[in-house]
Parts: sequence; C-alpha cells; structure tokens
Amino acid sequence: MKPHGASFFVRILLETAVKLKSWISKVYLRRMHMKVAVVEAAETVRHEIVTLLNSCIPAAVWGYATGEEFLLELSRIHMDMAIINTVLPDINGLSLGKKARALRPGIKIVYMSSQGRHALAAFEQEADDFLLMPFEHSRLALMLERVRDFNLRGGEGSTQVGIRKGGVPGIES
Amino acid sequence: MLKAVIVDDEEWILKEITDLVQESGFIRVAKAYSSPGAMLEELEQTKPDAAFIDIEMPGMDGITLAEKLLERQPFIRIVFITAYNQYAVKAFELNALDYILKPVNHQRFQKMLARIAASIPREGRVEGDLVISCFGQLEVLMGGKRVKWERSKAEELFAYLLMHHGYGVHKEVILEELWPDYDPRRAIPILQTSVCKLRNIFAPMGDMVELDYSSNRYSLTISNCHCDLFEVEAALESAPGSLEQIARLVGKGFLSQQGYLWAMAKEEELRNRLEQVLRARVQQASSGGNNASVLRELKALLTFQPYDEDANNQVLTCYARAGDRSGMAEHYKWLEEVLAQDYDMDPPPSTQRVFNKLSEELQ
Repeated sequence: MKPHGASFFVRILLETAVKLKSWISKVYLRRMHMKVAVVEAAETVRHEIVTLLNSCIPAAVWGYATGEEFLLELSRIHMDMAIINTVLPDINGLSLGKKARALRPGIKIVYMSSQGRHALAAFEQEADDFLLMPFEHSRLALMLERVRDFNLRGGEGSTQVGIRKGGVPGIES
Repeated sequence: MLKAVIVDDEEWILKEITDLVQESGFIRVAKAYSSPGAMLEELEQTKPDAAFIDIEMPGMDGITLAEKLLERQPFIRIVFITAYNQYAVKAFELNALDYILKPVNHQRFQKMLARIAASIPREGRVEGDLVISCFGQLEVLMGGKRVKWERSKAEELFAYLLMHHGYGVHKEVILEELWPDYDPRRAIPILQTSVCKLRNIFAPMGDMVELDYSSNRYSLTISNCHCDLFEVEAALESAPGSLEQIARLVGKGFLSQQGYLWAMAKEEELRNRLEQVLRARVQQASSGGNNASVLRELKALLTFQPYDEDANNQVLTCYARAGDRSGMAEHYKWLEEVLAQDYDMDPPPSTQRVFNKLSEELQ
C-alpha cells in the first residue's frame, strides 16, 4: 500500500481546514467571551465536553473535577454558565448548583447526568437545562442556543476588522 | 394578559388548574380541554401564550401534543402537570418552562406562575432608531445599544431572514441552510429556540420588527430602520447620483465577517448587479464623451473590484486624456501597492504597457 494515497491528502486537507477555522474564530472573536465551567469528575468526559464547547462558542471554558475546586474559583471570578454533573465525588451536583446560584445569582446552571430521574429535581431548582448523558452534539447546540443571553451592550459601533485601509485614490473613505 | 389553554383528561383536575390559573391575575384561561385533539383543532382561534398539559392521556400523550403545539406556536410556554416523573428529561428537551407533579402543591404552582411572569418580555420600549449593518460584520444597534449575539444561531437566523426580508422562507429550507450537518428532527427545536430569542430581543422595538410564522414559513418584516442592505438594494433598483458609498459597502462583503456559507450567493449577486449598473454608466458616460464622469464611475467600480484589469486601463487612459500626469502616476502606484499587498504581484502586462505608452505620450 502506498503511504501517500489520495485519502492521505484528503485527511491533511481536512485537518488544515479545521485548524484554519478554529484559528480564524479565535482571531475574530477574541473580544467577546463567555466564561463557562464544566464540573465533571471523569477526566475523559470533562475533556471531551470542554473541547466540544470550545469549538461551538466563543467562550473561555474551564474544567473542574470536584465541586470544591469549582466553588473556590467561582468565589473569585464571575462565570456565565456552569455545566454540572449531578453525581460528583465530593458533593451532590444538585446542591452544588444551588450554592453556585447563591454565590452568583445570574449564573446559568445546566445539569448533565446519566440518571434521568435527576431531571425532576433540576426542574424544582429552576435549572436552565438538563442533558441526559451520553448526549449528541445537536443536544449541546440546543442547550447553548437556549441559555444564551442577549443583553444589549452599551457603546456605539465597533471596529471593523480585516478591511484594507486606503481606498482608490481620488475617493475619500 | 396572557392567554392559556389547559389539557387534562380528568375533569376535576381541569377545574382545579383552571381556578389556580385564573387567580394568578395575569393569565386568562382561553379554554380548558379534556382531549388533546380538540385543543389542536381550535389553536387558530385560541392562540395561546401558555399551555398546561397533562402527560398520560388517552388518544395522544402530552409530549406528542407539546411537540405539535411548538410546531405551530413556537412562542408558547409549556408546563407539564403530571403524576409521573419519568418524562422530565423529555420535558427539558422540549424546553418546557416547568414540570409539576400531581397532586398539585399550591405553593409550587405559585412558583411556576412567577417563572411565567418572569418570561414575559419587559414592556419598556427602547427609544431611538434601529440600525442594522450587514456589510463586513453584522451589527444591530437598538437605540444606540448593540445587540450582543455571542455567535448564536439566533444571530444567523436574523441575518438569514433579513436577507429574505419580507418573504416567507419555508422551515425546511431554513433547516437545510443553517443546520446542514444536523438531522432536521434535531435541528427543529434549535430553530424554535432561536425564533423565540429573536422575538424577545426585538420586543422592545414594538411592531417595528415583526417575525411571523404561518403555513410553515418564517418571515421578518422591519419598518423604519436604517439598514445598509436595504440601502444597497434600493440604490441598485434605481440609482440616481453617486454609487461610491454603495460600492464601498459592497466592497466590505455581505456578512463577510460572519462566515455564513449561504451569504456568499447573495454577495455574488450584489456584486454582479452593482458591476452591471456601473459598467452601463461607464458606457453611457463615454459615449457622451464626459471624461470626468467616466473616471468617477470607474473609480466606484474599483472600490469593490480593485484588480479589474479593464477598468484600471480605462482609468489610466482617462487621466491621460485629461492630461493629468500626476493623477495617472498616482493611480498606477496605488494599483502596484494593492497588488503587492494582497497578492505579491505586479500589475498585469497590459496595464504596464498602457501605463508606459501613455507616460511616453504625455512627455
């Protein structure tokens, strides 16, 4: 088998495209960022969700393995959203959500769980969403669309990026 | 005052919920039904803002009913009132506002009513203009404040419907254009959510912004706004005066910073139309022998197509005809710079020849 088959080039091409896309979004979207926490004990799952979120939204996403770590951080910085597994090693995820709300009243709380029966408790707590694990990409996209806030931002206009300076001579810009 | 419908197959529960809702003071019960079918049939008349639905019912279950309801009334708030707890995950998926267990606890019911009250867009109207820019980066200013879209699908949906301003676009078409990678069944709830978000965002503008849904088509109608896309389209329809400003807008690219694939066809269309209009004008001006206006139209053309070989050659010729040596040299220098900057290239041979020949002639 030839190492440089057509599929090899296709793969390289795809990889480059993906890299380019993430690079472009990083450059253009540096200015706006939402802060999101993922609280999940299983490292692979946590990592997967953080990566997925990073590819979907212009956000700064952090992962936490325990409720304690997350609460400590939350007491120091403002966060817009927390995605919390209802089952955590050190604390019940549902009561962690409650504590987070007490600390930062505006924070969006989304629970994820492999236990569907926790959804009822999520409703009682007025959680913003509940994801039954494992969930599809489209379900995550739905959640993100739902919890996003569209507050009006003050200040006029913005700076246009990527537009060449200096027009055709004789025409003032 | 919100309008609500209630569906439950048990008469006495229906009565109890009706009373509780009526007592709220801000929700009126349009009608209480003991069968889901009748409720769907009368949806056009009742047009409810909220629905209180039982789940296990004979004929049609409450989850299916909610799906059908959302399909036809995407803006409705759904509250499930049921004796079973196993549908809560599904209820979250349907974006139900709440899920209450039977027997109904009155305190819990009040808490739910407060959530409905909080979901009503605030009345306070935004004073001032609606300004929409679509060239380059999408930007929406309401009374001087910028809408913070955060790259949401609501933003893309807004831009898409704005592009089809005034026309109803079929749901299936929207799903295909905006969520090409998703199974349409999975994308529908995202579309519905985005629609609701848009309605809430523009609620303060009153009826200036209307987002309608009828016979499976969504349409956006905006009156009284400053929108650069409308300006460009109006100028292309009947273009009096100078098109420089329009050419500059088109040069930025339609929604070019957003990276929407569907916007490319529109950009192409705008460019082609503008090019046609400008070329016709160049033609007209040169047959009239008006050197200055030929030059003006050519420059407008170059603001969005800077490398057009033919136009650049003509510009040089126009300067030469007017005996403006420095103007010609300046233009050539500009072309060299632009090409070097964007493509690391020299001007095309024909332009070089024209420039050299004209420079000699002028000496």
